[in-house]
Amino acid sequence: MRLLFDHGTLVLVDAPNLHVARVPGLRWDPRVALFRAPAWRYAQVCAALHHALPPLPPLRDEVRPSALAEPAAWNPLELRPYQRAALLSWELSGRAGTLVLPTGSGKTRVAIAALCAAGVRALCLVPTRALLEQWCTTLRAAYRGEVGCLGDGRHDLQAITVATFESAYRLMPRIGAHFDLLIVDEAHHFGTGLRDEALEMAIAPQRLGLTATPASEPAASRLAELIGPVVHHLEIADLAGRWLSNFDLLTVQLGLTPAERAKHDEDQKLFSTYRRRQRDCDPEAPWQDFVSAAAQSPEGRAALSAWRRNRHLLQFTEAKAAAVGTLLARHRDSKVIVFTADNEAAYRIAREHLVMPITCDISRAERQAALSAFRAGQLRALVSARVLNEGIDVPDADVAIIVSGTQGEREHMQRVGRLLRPMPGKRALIYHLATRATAELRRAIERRHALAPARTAAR
Amino acid sequence: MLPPALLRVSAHLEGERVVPHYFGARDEPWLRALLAECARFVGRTMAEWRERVREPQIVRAPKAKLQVMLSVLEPLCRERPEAVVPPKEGRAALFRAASNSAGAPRAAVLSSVAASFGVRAVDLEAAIFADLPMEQRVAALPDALSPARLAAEANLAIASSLVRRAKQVRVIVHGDARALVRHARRAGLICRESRLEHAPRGVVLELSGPLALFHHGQVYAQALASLIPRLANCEHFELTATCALGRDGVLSSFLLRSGDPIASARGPAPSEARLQRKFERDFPRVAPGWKLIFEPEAVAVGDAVQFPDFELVPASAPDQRWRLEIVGFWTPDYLQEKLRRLQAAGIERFVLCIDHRGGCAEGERPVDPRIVPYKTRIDPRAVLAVIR
Repeated sequence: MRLLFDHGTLVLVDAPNLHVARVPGLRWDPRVALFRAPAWRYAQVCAALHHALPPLPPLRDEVRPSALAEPAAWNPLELRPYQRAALLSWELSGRAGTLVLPTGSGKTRVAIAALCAAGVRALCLVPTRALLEQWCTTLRAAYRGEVGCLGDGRHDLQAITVATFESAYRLMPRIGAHFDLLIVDEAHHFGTGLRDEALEMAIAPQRLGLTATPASEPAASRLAELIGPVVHHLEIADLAGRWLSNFDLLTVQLGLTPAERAKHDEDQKLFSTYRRRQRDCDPEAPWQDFVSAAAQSPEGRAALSAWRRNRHLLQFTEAKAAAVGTLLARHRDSKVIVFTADNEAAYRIAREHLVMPITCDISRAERQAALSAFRAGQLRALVSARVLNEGIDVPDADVAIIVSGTQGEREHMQRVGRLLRPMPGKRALIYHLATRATAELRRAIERRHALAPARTAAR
Repeated sequence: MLPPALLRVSAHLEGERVVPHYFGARDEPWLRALLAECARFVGRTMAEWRERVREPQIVRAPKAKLQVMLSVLEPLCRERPEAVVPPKEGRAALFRAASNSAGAPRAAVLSSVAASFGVRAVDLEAAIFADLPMEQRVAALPDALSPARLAAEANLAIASSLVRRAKQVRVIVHGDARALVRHARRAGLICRESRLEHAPRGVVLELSGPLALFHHGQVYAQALASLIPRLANCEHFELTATCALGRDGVLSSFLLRSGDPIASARGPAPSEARLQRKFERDFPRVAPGWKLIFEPEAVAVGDAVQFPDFELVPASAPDQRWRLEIVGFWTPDYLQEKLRRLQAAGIERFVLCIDHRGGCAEGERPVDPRIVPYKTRIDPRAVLAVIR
C-alpha cells in the first residue's frame, strides 16, 4: 500500500478495501479508481492507516519528494519574554496554532524562532510582494542556507522558502508535499474560502499562523481547522509603553461643503429608507444577505448605488484634502505616513503635496528604494492606500494621517500598529480624519474607544 | 474573465440549466457606435473614457451588456502615454527634492527639478505618473476588430467565466481532441478519455481538478476556463459544465456547442508548437532513414485513448513504427500510470518526452528507458537511443 501526493491531494495506491470512515478525509475517487484525501489531512491519514484495526498492509509513504535538501543551520536568536511565551504556547499545542500579537511586536522574529526550533523544510506565506521581499531579507540574516522565493517574478524553491499567497495558491498542487512547516503571516486573510485551497493542498503537519487581528466566525473555525486555534493572544495594551511605542490618537472632526452635504444627505436618505424597510422584514439579516437581496430589485440597486456614492464622497472630501495639507505642513520635520482608502486619493495627495506614493502600481524595486529613502530621512512622507497597511517594517514613522479606509476595524488597528515600533523617547501621533454628522464619525469614535485601554496603558 | 457581478447579469437560470446572454446581430448597431466613440477618444486618458461611458450612449445599449462589453473592450484599447522624463526617475527626484525643500512652494520645487531634467514644469508633472494605470491612454483599436468580432470576444468571456465556476466538465469531441487533452494535462486537470459509442471519431473527455472530489473550489477554475478558446478549434464539440453559480453552491448545468458564437484561440500555445516544429526539423537530420508523421491517429489503450504527437516509421521496416508523445506537465504517478496502461495494452514502442521543468525535482522522475526529458528542445539522438 503506497501513499502518494497528487496535485494537492493524497492518493492511496494498492490499498485493500478500506472502511473510509476510519481515515479522516479519505474518499473513494471513481475518476481514477483510487482512495483520495486532501493533503492537509496528511498527518491524520498516516496515523489512521498505521494504527488501523485490523492492521492494514504496510504503508510505503512516498508523499515527500526524495531529492529535496534538508535545511541548513540557523543563527542564534534572542527573544523578548512575551515572544518566548508565544513560541512556547505554539510548541505545547503540537506546533499547530495561531499567535495573535500586535503589529510591531516582532511576529517575524517569533516565526524565525519557530523555524529554528522545528528544524524542518518550511514555507512562509505572505500576502504581498512587498512583504515577500521583507521576509526574504529578514530570513537571509538569520538562516545560513539559501532562502527560496516564489512570487514577484521569481521561482526559486529551497528548503526554506517564502511565497506570496497568490503564488502559493497557484503552485501548491506541485509543491504542497515539499514542506513540513507552514508559516502563514497575516493569517486572517484566510478562512473565508478565498485562497483557502492553498492551505488545503499542503501536507505540512506543523503550522503557525501570525496575525494582529484574529478572524471572527465563521472564518475563525476554518482557520482553527487549517492552521490551528489561537494559542497565544496579546493586545497593544499588553505591550504599549515598554515593548511598543507610546502614542496619541486624535480624531479630527471635519465638515462637508454645502454641495457635498446636499449630495450626502440625499443619498443617505435614499439608502436609509430602503435599509430600514428591509430591516423591518428581516432584522437579523447580515450585510451580505442585505446586499444580495437589494441587487434583485431596481429600488435596492438604487439604494446600493447611493451607499457607494456616499462612501466614495466621504473617502476624500474637500475638508480632508485641506486638512492633509495643513497636517503635512505642521509636521514638516517628522516622518509621516498618510493612509487613504484608494489609490485615486493617494495619487491626488502625491500630486498636490509632492509626497511619494507607495501603491500596488509602484514596482517592488521602487517601493524598496522609497522605503529606504524614508528610513534614511531623504523622504519625509509617504502616502499609501493599502500597501503599507500590513507588515511592512517602517521603524521610525512618528506621525500617521488616516484619511479614510475601506476595510473596517482590522485595517484601522493595522494602520495604528505601523506607528508603534518602539524607538527611544518616541511618542507616535495618529490623526484620524472623520466627517461630522456621518456614520464615519461614529465609527471613528468606536475605534478610538476600542484602542482606549492601550492609550491609557501607554500614558 | 468577468467579475462575479457581471457574470450574474450575463446569464440566468432556467430550472437547472444556465442560459447565457450572448451578444448577437441585434447588438451590432450599438457595438458599432461604441467602437466609433472609442476611436474618438484615442489619446485621451482611460479615466476620461470611463467617465464618458457612464453617460448615455449615442445608440441606446442594454445596461448590463454594455458593462460586460466595456470590461472586454478596455484591455484591448489601453496604452501607456509618452513621458518626457522616465517616470521612475522623475518621481525619485521630485519627491526627494520636496522633502528637502524646507517648505518651499510646490511650484518652485517643480520648476527647480524640471530644470535639472531640462524640461518644463508642466511636462515633468505630466510625466511623473505616466507609467501608472490611471494615466493610461485610449489606444487605436485594430482595424480588424469589427462589431461581430467584438461580440464573439465578449461571448468567449461569458462562456469562459461560466466554466470557471465549474466543478467538472464533460466534453464530447468529434475529430482531433489531442490539443485539448494535452492542454488539460498540462494544466494539471484529471482527464479521463473514452471512446464515444457508435461514433468512430468521437471522444468523451471528463475533466476536473483533484480537489473537486472534496468540494467546489477555484484552484482549477483557470485551467477549466482555458479549455474554451481551444474548443472552438475542434471540428465538432459539445461541452457540459456543472457550475456553482449562486452563493448557496447549488449546481446547474451550462451547455456549449460548436456553432455557438464564441471567439476561438489562435492556434496551440506558442511554446508547444515551437517544440514540435523543432523536433520536426531536427529528427530527419539525425535519422535520415526514418519517416516522421506529425499528429498521427489516436491510439486506443484499453478503454481510454492516447494522442501521440509523432509517429516514427523506419523505412526498412514500416510496420515497426514508434509513437512519441510530448507530455509537458507531469507527475510521477501520472507517468507510472501511463506506462502501466501502455504495458497492459501491449504497446511497447512508445516514447514519452517530459518537460524537465514540469516536475519539482530530479529524483521524482520514474526510471524507465522510454522516458526522454527535454528542456527547450527534444534531443533526436536521445529518442533514437531509446528506439535502438
